[in-house]
Amino acid sequence: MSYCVHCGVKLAEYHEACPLCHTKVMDPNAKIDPQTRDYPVYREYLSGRSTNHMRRLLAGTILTSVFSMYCIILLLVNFIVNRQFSWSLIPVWSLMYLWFTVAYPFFRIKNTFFRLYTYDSFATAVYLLVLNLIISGDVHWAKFAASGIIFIWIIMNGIFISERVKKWIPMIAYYIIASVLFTALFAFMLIDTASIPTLILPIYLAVLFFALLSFFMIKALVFDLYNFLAIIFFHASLLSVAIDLIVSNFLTQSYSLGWSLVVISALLPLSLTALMLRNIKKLRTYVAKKFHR
Amino acid sequence: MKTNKQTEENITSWFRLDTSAKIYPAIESPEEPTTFRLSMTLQEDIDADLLQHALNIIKPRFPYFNVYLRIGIFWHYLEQNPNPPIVWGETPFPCERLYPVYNNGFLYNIRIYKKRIAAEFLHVLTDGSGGFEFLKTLVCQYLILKGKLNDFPEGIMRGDEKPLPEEYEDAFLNVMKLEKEHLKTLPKQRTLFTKDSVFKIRGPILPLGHLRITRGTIPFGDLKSIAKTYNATVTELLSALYIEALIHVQHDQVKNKARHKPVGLTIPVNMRNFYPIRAMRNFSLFVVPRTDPKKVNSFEDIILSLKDYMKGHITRDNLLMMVKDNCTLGESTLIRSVPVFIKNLVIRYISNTQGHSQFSGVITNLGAARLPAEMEQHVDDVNIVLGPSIHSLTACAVIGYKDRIHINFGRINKEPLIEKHLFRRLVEMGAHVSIKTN
Repeated sequence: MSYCVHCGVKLAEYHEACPLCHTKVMDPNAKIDPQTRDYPVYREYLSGRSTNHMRRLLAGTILTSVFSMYCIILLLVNFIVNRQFSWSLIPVWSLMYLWFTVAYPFFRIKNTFFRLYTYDSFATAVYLLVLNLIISGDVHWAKFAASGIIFIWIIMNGIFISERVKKWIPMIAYYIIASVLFTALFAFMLIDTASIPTLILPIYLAVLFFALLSFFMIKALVFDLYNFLAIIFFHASLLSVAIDLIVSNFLTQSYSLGWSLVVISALLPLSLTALMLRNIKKLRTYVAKKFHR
Repeated sequence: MKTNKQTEENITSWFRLDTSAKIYPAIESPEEPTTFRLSMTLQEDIDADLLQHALNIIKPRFPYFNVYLRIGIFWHYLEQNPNPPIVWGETPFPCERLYPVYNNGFLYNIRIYKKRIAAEFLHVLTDGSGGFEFLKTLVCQYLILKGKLNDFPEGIMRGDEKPLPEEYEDAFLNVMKLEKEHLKTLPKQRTLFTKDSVFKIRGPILPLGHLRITRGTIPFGDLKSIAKTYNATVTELLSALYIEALIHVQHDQVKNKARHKPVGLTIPVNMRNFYPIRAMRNFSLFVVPRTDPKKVNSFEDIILSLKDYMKGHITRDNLLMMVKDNCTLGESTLIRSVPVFIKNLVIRYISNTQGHSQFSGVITNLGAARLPAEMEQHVDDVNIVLGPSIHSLTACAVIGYKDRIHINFGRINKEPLIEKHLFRRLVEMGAHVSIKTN
């Protein structure tokens, strides 16, 4: 039996250091009998933040390698066949966007929901603008999409700020200034006013609805990356259906599904995979606990 | 066996969740396991096969514990589980999340380690007092099989008798029936969206699923004499020390004094002390005293304000108002008609945004564990551990047995911030503290 010289508490026989202040027990001759422990010992190498960080780094590196490999192959094929970089720029730019949204967060030590959301919003806006530029040499349609994404970000930013500020006047001022600036920007960009009630407004409302629904659900089901991804993918697929229906109604005066079916076929399996991975993670955690030494 | 069969037939095959258990299925998660552990240490190593036999024998006595948690359209419910319960080996992390799917569907775990028998319960099943009654019967049955006891001593629930409806009925609704006339005179108290948030302990946390237990054992006489100098009860003394520790942690972690928040402590109140209902499921409420660090100059200030709070809030009328609010909410036609998955989302949302911001820590005192003399000579120690959650990184559970008191801290933050302060303060006050950890 030893006493901690700092805390003054009596320590159990198996303690090499005080559990309260980590001061070492100063008895070099003391023999620690593992049989006196109150609980079995857990394998230390399984625990620790560095291990988790290493796993994240590994995941990020693997994803980066895969994306880079695809980019190089696409550019090479394009160059060999056409002797120039033409069509390959679109998938390469898309892969770069995907890398930023999926792989880059693994390299960051601290990922908060708001930071990820901010990165993703601005990355998506830039992605759409550049994509439009690559395809048609201008930013005709992408500027509307990008401004819509920024508009949603402004609303969400307001929600996040309101959690910290908790004062009405600055928040109302924030929303008024943001709305005025946004309306001015939008009016400046707008050429075809007839499309507002039938195309632009419904799309903005759909985006707003799914963004808020995702926010509410993520807030209710916190702390799980897989849940987060499943919700985002699922809502993105629903949003694509909504946008497809709105666009088809605007163009042909009838509701029909087209490109959104491709988006759904890509996103729904991703959503289901995220849910499945979550369950496998549970199983892994369970096995690690039950088979400890 | 015939008696057991008859008992099984007479008991309903499913149970509604009691009023306070209704929120637990919604908020239970790997980050918030809602488990607690009660244990008894005997004088000899535990025979796992014999304990398994004892568990099988007493199973029909506790049909309300031997259940699955099922999901209905509007509420979760408990359904009788025909499987045999399992006796497990010890885990390095007590109160880890309980996965019923790997546990034959049961919502409690029996674990053995050397001389110790531990029972871990999900809070959806029962509270500390109900769980302790179950553990007493299990240990008693084990001692009978072992040949140490001849029969169940008086004061222990017999393994061969029928369960009473009072044990598994919703005790809160029974209180509502008992106090029907008095309730009409009481005002409504509860507001869902409450006051400003309180201080939360910061700092790095352990990997998910890991948990550190720090147990401080103190002679009862030491603690009693310290409490006497402040003219307080043991619960009040320990709660005040906990609050003082939280204030110190806040002082260390938040350098800007203007941003210091109040600290709030959740203290469960055992309703069995107020009503003679033999409830085996949840029958406790919570009071949450708040202390503003800006108004505190000394430990005496904390203990005085805490005593005033306890005196004003732990009264029959006040508790009854809380029962009324909880039951009215749970029994409201509107809320009952909402599908369970929407309820779960709403409960989790309110819990994450409002509920958890009201307290900085939890302390529960089960009081002195009393066993019949025949049994006491075979039981060396009794203990309780309360699992912490991501919202309250440290949880404290206190129990007294024979001439000593165990103060158990469960934490998921890396540094023992609260424990260090509390135990050092107790040593300063003249208590002899022995520490053990997992």
